Amino acid sequence: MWKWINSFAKPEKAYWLCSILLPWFAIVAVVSLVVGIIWGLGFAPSDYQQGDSFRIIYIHVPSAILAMGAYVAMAIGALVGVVWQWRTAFMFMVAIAPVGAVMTFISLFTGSFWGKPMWGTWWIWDARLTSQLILLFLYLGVISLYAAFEDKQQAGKAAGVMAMVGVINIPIIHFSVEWWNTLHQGASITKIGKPSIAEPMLWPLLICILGFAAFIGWVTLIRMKNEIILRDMHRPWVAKMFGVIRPEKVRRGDKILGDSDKPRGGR
Amino acid sequence: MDFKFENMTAFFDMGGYAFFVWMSFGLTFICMAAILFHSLFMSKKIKQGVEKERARAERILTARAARKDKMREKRRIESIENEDE
Repeated sequence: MWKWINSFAKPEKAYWLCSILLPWFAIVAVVSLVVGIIWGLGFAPSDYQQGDSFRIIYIHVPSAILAMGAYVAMAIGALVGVVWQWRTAFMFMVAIAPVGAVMTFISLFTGSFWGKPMWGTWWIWDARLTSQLILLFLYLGVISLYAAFEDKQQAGKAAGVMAMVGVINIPIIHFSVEWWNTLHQGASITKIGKPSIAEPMLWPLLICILGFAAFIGWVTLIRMKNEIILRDMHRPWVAKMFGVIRPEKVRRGDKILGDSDKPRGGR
Repeated sequence: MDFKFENMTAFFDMGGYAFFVWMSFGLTFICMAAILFHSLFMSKKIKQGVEKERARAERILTARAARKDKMREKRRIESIENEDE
């Protein structure tokens, strides 16, 4: 029943899917980011305690949640790559890693800019902040481990194992505000039951989360397409798509010119 | 739903938190634009690489065909010369 999903292990099928999805992600990302941020900055009521500084929430929370979400997605990619030997799963892993790292970085410095006026400090070695910093290092580890290997299948496996082991950090980040005494406030929307945030503030936040998610998807798809072409530059299907031919593989007797759009040779 | 600030000056002042709020939003925008444009730039570079590869292959094949024609022509002339002798 689920066998059709295996066809996406083929790079050409994955490339095709990326191309189809890309414009939709782009549209959703741009529209929801513009709407969500304008709504959050100008039209949401200000907080009774924190005044207008709370408006940083509209980028801090989406980037922090989605930095974790992107990590889980990356680890699932790694799992699929290691277990079912999908090359494209590793390509997805390495495509989403830099995007997730940027999201983690955004969540860290927006947290700093929020912490300074509210807590009186840019940084504190507290459970939530430290575990989020470790998330950034995990992303950087996956990226550099992948870059360190010449053989990209080996690279995918090594970086994939690291990505999967790092998943342990995700529940630690999420529950850090409950398990330890921390300066960071508790969860306000990702908790069971009713979110503890007023509705006029919640709506723009949800739109921003959608926007950030679509943005991550958009950039990941661009990077995934890049990675597929880069890896498969000399395979017949790329040759067919871009009209590249490998002269080494052309037989002497072949009629050569005028039909370079046909696939030829390859591995 | 209405605009929560009295005027644009109040909006840009952000209740005294202007520096923190605008720095957060500004840097976030820069980071997101950076990763997006880096990806698009890479994509352009890769397309250029593929195009270069294509041009190179075409060049090699053209040269090979030209060489083949030249050799055939040479052989033809040689065989005519041989017949003459």
